[in-house]
Amino acid sequence: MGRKNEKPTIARMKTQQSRSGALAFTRTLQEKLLLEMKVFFFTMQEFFWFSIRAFVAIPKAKQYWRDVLDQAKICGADSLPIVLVSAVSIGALLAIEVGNLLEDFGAKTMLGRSTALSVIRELGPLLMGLMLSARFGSRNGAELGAMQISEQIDALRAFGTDPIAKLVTPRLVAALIMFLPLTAFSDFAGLQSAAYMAEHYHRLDPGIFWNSVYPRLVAKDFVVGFLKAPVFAIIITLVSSFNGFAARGGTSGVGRSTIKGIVVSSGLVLIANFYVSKIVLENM
Amino acid sequence: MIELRQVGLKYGEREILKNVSLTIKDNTIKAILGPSGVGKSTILKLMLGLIKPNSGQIIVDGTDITNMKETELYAIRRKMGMVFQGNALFDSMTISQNLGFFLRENMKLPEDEITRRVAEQIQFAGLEGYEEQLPESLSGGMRRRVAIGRAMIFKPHMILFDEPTAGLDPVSSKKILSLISSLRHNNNLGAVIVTHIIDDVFNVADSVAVLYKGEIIFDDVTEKLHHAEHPFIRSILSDKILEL
Repeated sequence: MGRKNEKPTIARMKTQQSRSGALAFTRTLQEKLLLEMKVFFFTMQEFFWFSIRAFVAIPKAKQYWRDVLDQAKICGADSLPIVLVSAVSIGALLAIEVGNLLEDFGAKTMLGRSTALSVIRELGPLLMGLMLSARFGSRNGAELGAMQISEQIDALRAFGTDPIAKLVTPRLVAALIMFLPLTAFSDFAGLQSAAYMAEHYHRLDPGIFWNSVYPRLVAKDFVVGFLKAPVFAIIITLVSSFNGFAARGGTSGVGRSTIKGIVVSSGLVLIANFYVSKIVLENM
Repeated sequence: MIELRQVGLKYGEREILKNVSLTIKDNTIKAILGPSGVGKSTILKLMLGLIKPNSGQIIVDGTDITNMKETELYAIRRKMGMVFQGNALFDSMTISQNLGFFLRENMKLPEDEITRRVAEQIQFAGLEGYEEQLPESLSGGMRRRVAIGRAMIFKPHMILFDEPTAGLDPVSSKKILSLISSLRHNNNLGAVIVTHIIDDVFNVADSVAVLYKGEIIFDDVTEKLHHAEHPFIRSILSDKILEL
């Protein structure tokens, strides 16, 4: 009798145990999710105030004009080669692929028009944004992260200097200034390489190519493309700098914060690219 | 004068400081002694307003800085110089640029005056000939002396030292300690030294506070430390260095 009674008791206990185990697991999961959400919203709040402080400090950029020039060189002149390489390769590729497609419809003369629209509205600024997110963003994240880890940012605060005004605002101002000409260079290089491929790969007369480009481009096309430059400048600079300031935990922490800055800013560049195009094209 | 009144600080669930009260008078050297990771450096950061306490008050020269905004704190911070544990020198600047940086940034002094003060600190720290070197090319002791020079160049009332001799060889440690002693004698400066090396305390401090498990277990003139009866203090007096 005892044994017969014992079996269901153990089984019941096991069931209860597994139920309480499942409950505990669910509770832990809930708590973890709650904590993650709290951390996310707290980080967003911090990022918001960080951005506000960076913008409020813009008048102080005059005081840090040397830093602005340094950063302008880093994100402008020094970034030009990689922006040009990516623009040339994507322009050439676009001309080949779109040219092949248009040939099937006997519309190869429209090659200039279609590549110009793609490059000026979308690919020129987008590639420039992604390249600068990798180049300028990673530099910001690593440099500011290393400064944070070695207490240099605390030293600035300790001696009465606003680290955001000194380190972030010059980067922001430089990016806002330099991203516009970089976009123009990216567009120019992309179109030139497309024209070159149109002439040498598709045997299209340059006159036909450029005739389908210039007369048909309207202000809206340039607004879409060039409006993205300041948007990307703000995203890349603030996200990468914020992550640099948030670096903790030694050299591996600098690595983590740099990667996070690049991944998040690249993702936001892609999202912003879509929304800027959508908003401008729908409203102009 | 710097006062901490019933200061409490928590990081998440971890209680770092429990109702810590401390007074640092002008023209005196106060040491804060305790094992690593007990919150000694945190006390220095609280004094500068770099972090905010969860409870209590921090008073600097009669001004309550506990809830001050960052922009309001800058003026208070300029009354104090800080020597960070890792020196926190700007690694892309030369020694003279490091020394003159905050003068150019915050004090709007004429360039002649900045050059004069930089030369004064170079001489005080015994770094003649190294003016145009980058910090990475200097030894640990030399870097520490640059950091002390940078903290002094403002002519502050008080200098806060975070582990001034940690990681230095005995000769460099001795140089740094004599430099700290000379600050008060030559410049009428007060200082707070955070350390885990008990010999440093006996060498330079007028008074000492011992921090243990987030609480001050001793706060008196240095000589009285020998007579303290707390078991932790007895154990550190016999071991000399706290490696906990």
